[in-house]
Amino acid sequence: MDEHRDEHGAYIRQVGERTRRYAREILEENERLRALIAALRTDEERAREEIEAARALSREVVVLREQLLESKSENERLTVELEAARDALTAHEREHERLRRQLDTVDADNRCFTEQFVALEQQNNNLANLYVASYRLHETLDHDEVVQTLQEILANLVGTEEMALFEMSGDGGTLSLSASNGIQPEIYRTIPVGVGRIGRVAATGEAYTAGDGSQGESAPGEEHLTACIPLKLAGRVTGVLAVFRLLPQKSGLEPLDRELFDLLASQAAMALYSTTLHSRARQD
Amino acid sequence: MPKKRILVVDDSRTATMMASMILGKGAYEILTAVDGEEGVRKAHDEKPDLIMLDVMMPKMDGYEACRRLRGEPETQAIPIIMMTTRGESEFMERGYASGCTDYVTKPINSVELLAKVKNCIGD
Repeated sequence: MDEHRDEHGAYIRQVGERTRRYAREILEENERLRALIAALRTDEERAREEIEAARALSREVVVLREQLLESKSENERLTVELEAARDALTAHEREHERLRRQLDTVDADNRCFTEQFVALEQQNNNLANLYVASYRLHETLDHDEVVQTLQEILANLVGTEEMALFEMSGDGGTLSLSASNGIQPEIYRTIPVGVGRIGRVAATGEAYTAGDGSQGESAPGEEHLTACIPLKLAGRVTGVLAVFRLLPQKSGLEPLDRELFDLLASQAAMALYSTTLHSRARQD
Repeated sequence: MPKKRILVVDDSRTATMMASMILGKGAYEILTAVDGEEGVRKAHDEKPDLIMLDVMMPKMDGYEACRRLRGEPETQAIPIIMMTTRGESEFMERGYASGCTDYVTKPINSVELLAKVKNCIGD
């Protein structure tokens, strides 16, 4: 019986041992499952957060996509505007070039008109010179005033510093100094016709201009002779106008001066002759 | 608009006539005087916009006339262009020292004269 009891007790202990071991295993399994659940919860929480983050990201992507679409649209609009601006720029460049060419043409025209104006003004000036000279010579019947006018014309319109006016003697053999300016009159008081350049001008009736190739010897006092103009009336020489030094700023005779000399050749002779006639008429 | 007035002072009638022809055809009215004294008097009475003054004149030369014009309050601001046969620098310096605004030499070049007048008083 004791033996039976012992066997039974061993069995009970064995069962108890197994039960305890099983219970321990269940507890351990339970613990493991609890830990697993906790881990799963953590994972779930993280997953939830990740899902939330993904959703937020997704919303952001949607916004970005919308913005991208808007940007694309804006970009297309700007591309069109840029193209239009490029076209406008090209058109402006063409217009600018056209205006520049037009301006060049206007500038060239302006230069041309200015040159024409200066030429006309010069021509006008020349005509005014001739008019004034002619008008002044015939303004008076007083011999001294005519001589004074001749001096003024030469000084103011030609630019002479030294001059002399000779009048032909009644017999046509000598020239007598009638008026002078800037020269020593003593050596020019009388000049025989045909002697020296002044005398030859009186003899031939041909004007002399320095540097024009006229030949012949100079008489004393003629070294600085610039021009010598015969004063002629009806083809006859009645006197000679001698121009010596010009003013320092006057570099030489100009075409206008020669025209003025031509005018003086006839008009001065006529004016001087008129004064003589007037004087005679008054005496009579 | 009234024409601007220019007083031409020169004892040579040829010179004043020439200056009048050059300037008078445009927008300017020309007054004349035959010597420095008359020039100063007319400048004082008429108050022209510009005075053109010859240098060598009887009674009072251009330098003295210029100094007197500059010395009077009524005429001291009027531009003065001196005109002379002498183009050497010492004469020009003397002209500027007496108070002239500008200087032209004879024979007068119309283009140069018109440019100087325009520069002084405009069209």
